[in-house]
Amino acid sequence: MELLKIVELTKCFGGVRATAQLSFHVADQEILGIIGPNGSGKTTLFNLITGIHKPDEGLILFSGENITGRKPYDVAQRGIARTFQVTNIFSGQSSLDNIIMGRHCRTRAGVWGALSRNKRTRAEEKENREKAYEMLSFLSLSDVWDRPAELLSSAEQRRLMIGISLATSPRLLLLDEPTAGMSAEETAMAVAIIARIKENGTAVLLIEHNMKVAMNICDRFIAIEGGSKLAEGSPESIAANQRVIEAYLGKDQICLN
Amino acid sequence: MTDKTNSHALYLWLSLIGLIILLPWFLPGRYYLFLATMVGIYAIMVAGLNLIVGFTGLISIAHGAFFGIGAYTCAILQVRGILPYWPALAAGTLFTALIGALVGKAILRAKGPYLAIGTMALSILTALVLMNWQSLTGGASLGGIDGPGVLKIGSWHIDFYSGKTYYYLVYLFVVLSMTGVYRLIHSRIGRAFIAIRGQEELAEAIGVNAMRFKILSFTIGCLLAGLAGGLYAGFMGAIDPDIASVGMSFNLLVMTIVGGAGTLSGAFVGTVLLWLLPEALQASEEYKPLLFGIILLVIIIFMPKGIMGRVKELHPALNKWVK
Repeated sequence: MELLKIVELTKCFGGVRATAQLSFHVADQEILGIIGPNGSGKTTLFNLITGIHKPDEGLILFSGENITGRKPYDVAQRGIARTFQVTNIFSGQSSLDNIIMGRHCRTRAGVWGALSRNKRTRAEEKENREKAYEMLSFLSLSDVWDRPAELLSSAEQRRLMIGISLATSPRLLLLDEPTAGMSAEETAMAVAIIARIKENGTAVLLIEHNMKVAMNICDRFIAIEGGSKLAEGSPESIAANQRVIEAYLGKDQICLN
Repeated sequence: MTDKTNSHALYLWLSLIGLIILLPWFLPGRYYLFLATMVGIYAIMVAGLNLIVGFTGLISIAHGAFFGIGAYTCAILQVRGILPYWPALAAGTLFTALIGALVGKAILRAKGPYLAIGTMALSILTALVLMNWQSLTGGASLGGIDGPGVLKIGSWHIDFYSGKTYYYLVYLFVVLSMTGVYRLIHSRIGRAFIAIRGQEELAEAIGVNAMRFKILSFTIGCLLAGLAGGLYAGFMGAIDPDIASVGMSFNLLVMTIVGGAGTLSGAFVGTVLLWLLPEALQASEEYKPLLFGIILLVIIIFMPKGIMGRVKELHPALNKWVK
């Protein structure tokens, strides 16, 4: 089934077409990789899907509903979460609180609940902590649960950022270069996490520059250049596609392994 | 938090409340009781401003205006004989919150310096209206506010004309406000405020409707300013438009920042300091403002996060205590 469907999406900034007539879909429980050279419009695409930018033309459908031009918080509430290219976490808050903050749109307590600390609020807070500890253990961050987020290592921070977005219980997760700046070991850990996110039933849209990683975990790929689709298909067909190789990997040096 | 720190925190709370109860019996004179009551009134208001500035990361140079709106609403209702003091206090508080919500909805679209200028303009406007709408506000001064008077519950008579009784009334509201703000910031609502303060883009990405929670924070902050205004009107018996001036708003902002914006205790520490420091300075009247200014400057330079913000950084263990 098509979870996310993008139809002829176009976005211009001034005279530059960052996204041009782009159409594709993400199926339930698949990892779709987006590849393309720098400036090809990958992050812009994320910003369009999550409502940070409004598209000039085209449609974004999420599980059959038109979410084109919806506000970021609305898109998140409907079940699309994202991470950012540059690490974005709540500094000054512990890892645990960072995750609990991510549970905002899946919890209900209002002003009265907060002031009275009634049974429902206390139960919700208890559940928040339990689920957050679970999430930290899933991300191998249990040891640093009470450490302020800004004091974590950069790889830990990037895992925490994934955790914050996962805490919103998304059906679709957009990951913007999750392994950027990571060592081989840290990358392996991130890859294992992404694979398990898929196993748990969340579809993933992945921007990844490390081709080895991408080829390993993505079920399908779309390649974009200049905001429009260059090719779409299985890892093997993308790796063999002459236009993709020329645009992205360079004309002479092909190094997939 | 473990049970042990929980019980420690309880002892801390109990001893603070004990201190508040005992303080009037040890104060050397009526003037100090007046000061202590004023500190309480301001602390309620600054706790509200701290929610807006310290926890949600907004800027408001209009808090004095909301203090004024609360004070005038409560005073006018009572002086005109429309409502007795207690319902007038409630009406003033709720009316201020309502104005806060409406103004917030319009003004909170602006950010940073634009929000500062917008709220400052609001402060100027409010003071002008209070001064010039003489048929409603009495112009330069509005007197004859009776306050709560004597409350009769059965055979009990609580006389609020007594300084001590009013002190206890104010501090009852201080404790309630502080507890309310504490519970709020340690809840889903407060986490949304803090998320907006830190990373608005990320807050929206996890489903926080930033505009809605900014308005909520602003409204609750204004509610506390309105409450403080009503208590002030009942305490002083006469009010003037200066309480809604830009200068007042700036003072409140200084109390928040010097005490430590974003720490619950900071709001109180800042209020106490800014009330007591001028009293403690034993210099001649001429040099007082100069010394006062220098001390504030030194605090801000060496403690950019305010006094309680600095205390918090001294040792990780203090984090649990400094809220």
